[in-house]
Amino acid sequence: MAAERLKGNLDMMLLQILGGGEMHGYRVVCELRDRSGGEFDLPEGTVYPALHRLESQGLLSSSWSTAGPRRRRVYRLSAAGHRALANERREWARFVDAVGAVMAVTA
Amino acid sequence: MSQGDGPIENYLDDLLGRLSGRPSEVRRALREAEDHLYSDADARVAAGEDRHAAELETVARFGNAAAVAESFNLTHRSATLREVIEQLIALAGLGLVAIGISGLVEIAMTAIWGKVWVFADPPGTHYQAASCRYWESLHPHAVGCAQAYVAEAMSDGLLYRFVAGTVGLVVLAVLVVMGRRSGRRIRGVLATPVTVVLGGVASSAAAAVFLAVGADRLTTGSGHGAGQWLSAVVVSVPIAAAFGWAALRRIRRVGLPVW
Repeated sequence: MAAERLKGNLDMMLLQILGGGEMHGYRVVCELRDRSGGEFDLPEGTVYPALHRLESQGLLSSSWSTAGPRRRRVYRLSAAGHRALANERREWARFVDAVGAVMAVTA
Repeated sequence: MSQGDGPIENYLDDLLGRLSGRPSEVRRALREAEDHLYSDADARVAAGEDRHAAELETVARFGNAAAVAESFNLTHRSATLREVIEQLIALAGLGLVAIGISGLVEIAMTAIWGKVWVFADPPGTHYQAASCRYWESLHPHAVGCAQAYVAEAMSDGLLYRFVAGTVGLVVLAVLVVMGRRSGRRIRGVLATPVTVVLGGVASSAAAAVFLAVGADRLTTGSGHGAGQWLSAVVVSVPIAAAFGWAALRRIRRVGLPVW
């Protein structure tokens, strides 16, 4: 899938994945890879700056976890993140409906 | 798990050399990258891949070190810039609220020492005839130009200070609401090194200047108009003291910055 198309929706997908509960960065990347069936071929390292950006915007919070074999940064949605996700879902549903309606008409 | 000088270690060295920003940001980025790379390589090895090949594949999937580092650096630069802008706006809001509070102090001083002590110009100040006519038209009960000027200076001075205070309250309220959404408290925003230094220097300088002018009015101007300057001193001194206290606490906690 085109990287530019993916970039525009990466934040929304990260919020959606973390909407299911807190998780560390590697798990987020695995979820993104698995849920898309490997369709999203973006450099996995660029997901972390996106997580940092969402955190600086107040949509995520994070903390170190030592539960596993390694010290990991665990991310979770903030209250603002939950609101942003709800808004993104609504916008996305409207967008998909509109594009679907346009594409359904054959020339 | 093997962590020798393999592809992952070489990649992390390359990434570290390209990352910029605060040490805490760099350490965090590197630690997350390290966790990701070794977790992914371990999973591949567990699935039957050779360790070296697994590390090469993992590094390739993580992305070019230069591009990943630039992405981190850009994010951190934007966040830092946004934080500094937010801190400057908070300081400006605090300054405007202080101006508004000084208006209340002016009212109290006027009640105690009178309008002339707070708002008048030094004795012997000459006004243009057109200005006098304008002030007297606005304040017909005033006796003479000097009294009309004092009435006008009082209404204008108080109005400007209260408008400034109201704008400052709105600015701080907006920051508080935005802070609640993002989890940042306004007290935290006003207690960063940037705001403590800037706020402390600005409020101390303002207090010194206002005190000098107010003292000059008291000694050479028969006290006329001293109150408008000393009212600002009454407000700026506690603010300077609060920033000084915050700086002292920070120095006690983390020591003096090394430049």
